Amino acid sequence: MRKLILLFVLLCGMYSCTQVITIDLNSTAPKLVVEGTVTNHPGPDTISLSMTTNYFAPVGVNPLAGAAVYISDNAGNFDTLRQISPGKYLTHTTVGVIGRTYYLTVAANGQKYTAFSTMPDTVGIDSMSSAERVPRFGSSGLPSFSITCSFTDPAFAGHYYGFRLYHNGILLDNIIDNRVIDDKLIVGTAQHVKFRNSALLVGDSVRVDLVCMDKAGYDFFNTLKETLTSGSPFSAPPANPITNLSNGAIGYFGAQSYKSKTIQLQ
Amino acid sequence: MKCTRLLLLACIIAFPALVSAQQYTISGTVKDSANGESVLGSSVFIPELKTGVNTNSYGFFSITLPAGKYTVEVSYIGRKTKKIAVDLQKNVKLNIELSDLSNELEGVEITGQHTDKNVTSTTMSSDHLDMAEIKAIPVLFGETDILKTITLLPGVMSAGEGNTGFYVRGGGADQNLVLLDEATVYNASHLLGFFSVFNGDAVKDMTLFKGGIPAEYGGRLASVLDVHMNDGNEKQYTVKGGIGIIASRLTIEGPIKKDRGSFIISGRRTYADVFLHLFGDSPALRASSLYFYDLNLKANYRITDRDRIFLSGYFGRDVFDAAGNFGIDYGNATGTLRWNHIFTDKLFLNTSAIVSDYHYNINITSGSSNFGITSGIRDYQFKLAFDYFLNSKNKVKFGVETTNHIFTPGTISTNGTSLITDLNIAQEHAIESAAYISDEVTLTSKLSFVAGLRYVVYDEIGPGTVFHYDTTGAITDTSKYSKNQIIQQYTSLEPRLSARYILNKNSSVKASYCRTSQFIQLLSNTTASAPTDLWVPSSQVIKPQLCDQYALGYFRNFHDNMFETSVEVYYKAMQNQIDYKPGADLVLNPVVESQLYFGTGRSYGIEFMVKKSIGKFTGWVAYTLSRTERQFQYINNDSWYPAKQDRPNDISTVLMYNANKKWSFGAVWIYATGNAVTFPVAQYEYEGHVVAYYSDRNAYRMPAYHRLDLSATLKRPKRKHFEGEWEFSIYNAYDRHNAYSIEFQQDPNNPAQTQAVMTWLFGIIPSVTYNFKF
Repeated sequence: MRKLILLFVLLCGMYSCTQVITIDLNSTAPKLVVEGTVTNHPGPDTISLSMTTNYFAPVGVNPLAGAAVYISDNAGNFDTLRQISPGKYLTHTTVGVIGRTYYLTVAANGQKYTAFSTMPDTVGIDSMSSAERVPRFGSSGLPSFSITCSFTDPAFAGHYYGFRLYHNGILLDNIIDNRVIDDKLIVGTAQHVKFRNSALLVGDSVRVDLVCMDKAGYDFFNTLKETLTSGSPFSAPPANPITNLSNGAIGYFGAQSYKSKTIQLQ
Repeated sequence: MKCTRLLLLACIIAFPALVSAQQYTISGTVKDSANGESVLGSSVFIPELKTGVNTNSYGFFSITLPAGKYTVEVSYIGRKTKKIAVDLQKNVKLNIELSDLSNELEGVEITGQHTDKNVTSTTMSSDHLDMAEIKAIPVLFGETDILKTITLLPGVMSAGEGNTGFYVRGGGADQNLVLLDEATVYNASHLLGFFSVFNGDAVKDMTLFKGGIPAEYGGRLASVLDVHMNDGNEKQYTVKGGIGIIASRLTIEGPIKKDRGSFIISGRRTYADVFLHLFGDSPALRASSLYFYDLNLKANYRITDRDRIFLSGYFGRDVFDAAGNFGIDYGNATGTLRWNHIFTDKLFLNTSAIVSDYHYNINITSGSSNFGITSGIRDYQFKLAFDYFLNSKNKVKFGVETTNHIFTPGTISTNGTSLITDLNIAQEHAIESAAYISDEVTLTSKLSFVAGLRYVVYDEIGPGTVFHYDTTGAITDTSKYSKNQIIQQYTSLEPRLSARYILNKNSSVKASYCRTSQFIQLLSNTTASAPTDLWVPSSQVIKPQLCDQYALGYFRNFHDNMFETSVEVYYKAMQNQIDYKPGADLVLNPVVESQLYFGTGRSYGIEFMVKKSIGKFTGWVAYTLSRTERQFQYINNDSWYPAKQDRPNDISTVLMYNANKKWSFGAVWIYATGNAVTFPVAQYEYEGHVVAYYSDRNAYRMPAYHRLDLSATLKRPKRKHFEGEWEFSIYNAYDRHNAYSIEFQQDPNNPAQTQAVMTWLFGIIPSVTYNFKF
């Protein structure tokens, strides 16, 4: 809708122009960024740690090596993660069980950061279908496909969905690249979510993960999307995504469950 | 309570005047000699007693004096002062007509129009502008716009380029009460704020109250903008219009019965879409529409010498349709029916019945699915307002009013297969009632004050479902209310006080205090204003906004009132202000209250003004130095931060030069500190995306805003009854690139590097408009 309003302004015949300007941004102390999940599928699960870099510094991950990372749960399990490459930490013994709450602890640079998340129940994909998309007039190339994934939201509210798309077994679109859905407005109804990607061609196999997350996960991804698209006059004033980490760390640690379905494009 | 006592005191002081020897009343109306329009706020002065009154909103005045011989001096800006000798041995009726000065500008030395109202009036922090003054100021695309003009006044700031929203002394754009013939205008903007809804040909004058707000106004925190429509020419039929590059206007007015009643019909429409259809080559563009229109209608009739009725209406709509895929239309409709009744020479009553409606419709079609959204607000209002011209020392106003607000937060209706289910967020209802009394007391020739008190009772009423939230915003419980059951009641007692002390012939000091409250608020968390911004009522969660404002001013005129100067300082404390949680979802959210933060605000500043309103060369310079800050528990760790409307330095310069009968020129230069904004200060990667890490809320500033506009008007000599004039204007004459927004993006030459890109809207824009009248 915001894009449409922006289009509205452009169509108003108002001409506008852009130019590159110099802005003096004060540098801030680097902050810990956490990206990690525990899932209901066989592990190991990965926790990635990095530090923020200055805004006008060249883009690139600044991994945090040598942190102490632990995951425990409310069933009394405790797991010390091991670092496999700088900033990447893998679980040993953690098993994702629906309904269980997981606690992450990161100790680094003399500080301690924590987060917790409860794994929601799965919702299955009822069916998947594909449709050939007619190439746009004037564009060349092979006809691509759109995928429709259907599922039924349970009769009670409080479900939060995300989607992952795999193309021939390789991750194509992660949760942040797709919609995240809060079932507030759609409780108990059948949903048909459409994915389009010009990479989807005849003969390919496509797997969709229907990811269920807790409210903190929905809030994080929803606000992360806002952050990624903010800056336009028709968006809210920019803000950092809502994190579930303590002590000034940013990012999200989540316990997620998912069910998958695969389709061959014909 | 203090104020009731003051009122009582005032009555006691006034009492001796009541019992003294023979008293008679001079009453009547003041009109324009050319068209019979009532002249509002003109000064009726008795030099022998150094006392006087101003005409009320209907041009009526009354003044009671001991028997004797007097001169009645009637003056108004831009009009020739009239002096009438009166031998007061019985009650006298005066119907006075003032003639226009501009007809005799050249060569004639005009005396008597020098007004010292700036120094002598009891009101402070207010500005009155007549349409003739407003029209002389250059504007974007040559479209006269009162909302753009008021941003040139001290203490008033524009909400941004291409935005008719305005901020008054640190108040938000929704904290201004905008009235058109007493009806509330909820969205005063067209084309997302590039133009205002006020058609210059239909408007008579406007008054802006920034502080010391009189007791008869209420419902908004920061200011009142009271706009009056023209009544229509009582003397003869006239047609006037204008052809501009964006819009054209046409106004027809004339007597219903000469000197007894008149009507006016004024319309305006843009034609950007006509060009779109002419020059667009794609079928989609041809099928699209984009326009707005305004229609102002008004009629009035004097049934008897004591009774006059007015019917006025405004209808305006913006329509945008992108070839059937996406359509939005929005607009206001207002209607006011008024009855003036003069009970006695001293007691005047106006009764008003008012309807005001704002709503928008959105239609989105995508493949086989289609859905529409409707949302808006409607008011029904009834008012009784008395003006009691008690005696030469006391002018009392009192009245009651009640408003029924009906909020439609949003309904979605769907067709075909759609991801979205039908949704109907229940309507909300509220009744806001108020009673007020104020007395303008002339205590001595030096000291006068207006003491007022307003009492408001606000009820949010059923039917409705109320959600209860915990501290995180999650719903813990709901309760249901039946029709007309009170869900939540708030009351507010609002003292309003302003006083003036004359130091000498040329100077005075004034002070004021006022408390204002606001029970309905506009939720808008985007940087630019959007037609979809939502009005919501105060409720159990949203507490009414309150503001206490203290102001002190020094007023001095120089050179026989040729130069008016003033310095005002103010301090405002605001309670129950609203801000938004990160990622707040305001559109079609049944639990929108859970998306809000509540905190306090403060604003303080000093305003300087130098104005010259007499002679060939007129204009003003206004400078405001101010701060506007907010404190919210969950924003920036509970520390004070600059509000969106914080612009410490604000300068407006307006110069007009009336060269001769043919040519007049205008220039406007403005400067303002850049908006407080939130910028990214660091970056990180998440799921392969580069994400910006943002600073504290509003920790940075946009570049400063400044601009020069020029205009020239060429009047063609009058031929028979036909008058024509050309208006040439240049907006942004030195082509300053003022930042509308700053976005950060990848450097196309070095993808690993981020760069800041500024968007600016208007470079230099010349325009021409042709106006005619016959």
